[in-house]
Amino acid sequence: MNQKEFIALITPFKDKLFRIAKRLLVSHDEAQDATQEVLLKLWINKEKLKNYKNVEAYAVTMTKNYCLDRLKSKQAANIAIKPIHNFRTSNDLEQQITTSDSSNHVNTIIDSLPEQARLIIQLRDIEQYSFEEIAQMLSMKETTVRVALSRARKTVREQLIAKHNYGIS
Amino acid sequence: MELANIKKIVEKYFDGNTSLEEEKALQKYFAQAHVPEELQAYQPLFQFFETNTDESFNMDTLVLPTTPKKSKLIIMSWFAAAASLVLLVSIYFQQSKPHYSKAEQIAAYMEYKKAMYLLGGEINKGVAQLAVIDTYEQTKNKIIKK
Repeated sequence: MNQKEFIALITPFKDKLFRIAKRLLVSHDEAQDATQEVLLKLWINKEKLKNYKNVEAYAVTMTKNYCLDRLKSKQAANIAIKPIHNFRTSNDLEQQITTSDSSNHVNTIIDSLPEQARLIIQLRDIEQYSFEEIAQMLSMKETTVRVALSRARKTVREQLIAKHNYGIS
Repeated sequence: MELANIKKIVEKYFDGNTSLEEEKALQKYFAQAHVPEELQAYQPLFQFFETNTDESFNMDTLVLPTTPKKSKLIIMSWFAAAASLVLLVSIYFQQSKPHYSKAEQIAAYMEYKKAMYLLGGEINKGVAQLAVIDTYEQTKNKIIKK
């Protein structure tokens, strides 16, 4: 496999890996580094990739493992990560401000969830993977994924309704 | 889509039972400006999902090494082995068969020639002395015969 073929292989999912890494690590730069590490590992093992039915799912699993390792070593080193958020919003300025504000709020809610819940919401609601794929990526049963997803979504809902009813963020 | 249907799908969504198509339909529904009061709390959620897929990985920073590290090392060690072999062989030949330039060869020949002339001159001197011995011999023979 040459560089061109490799780039063609990773192009459909490289951004997904980046967003998954960012959901777990929060920092944009850290997510960029993590994605780079994962892609480099894939490149070095490129001859073995033929053995994998679903390279994308394999890459997602690698990204997840890499990020969880990073978080673990960071917790050990006791370094705080500061979240920085960037959002695309609509053209209308007023709309932009309100969307940005509420999007920001949704993002904050999701980032406050435990890692596993965050990851499942990201994989399903943002990257739109099937339950089968998510089960494969996380080495879980499909029903377990559904239960974890339902729990995560309901936690988000509770906080959204609280904010909507009382206007506190 | 009618409100009752949407509400049903929203409930299914929170139970983790919606298909990807139904989730897409929800995102589309909540993207509209006016959503009924009772569903407004969910609007930011589905809008967020729809707009959060534009962040991308910057490929400029990705550098793919052309050869994997492992095989590079093997190739390098083969080169090193070949180079040291060539070095040993050339040193061996250098010592067993000394090679001189043409000028050096001529100079050596001249030295050799000079030495040979010297030797030849000394031999001729010796031969000249032999003539004297010869005279003595003739005189001695004359005396002994008589």
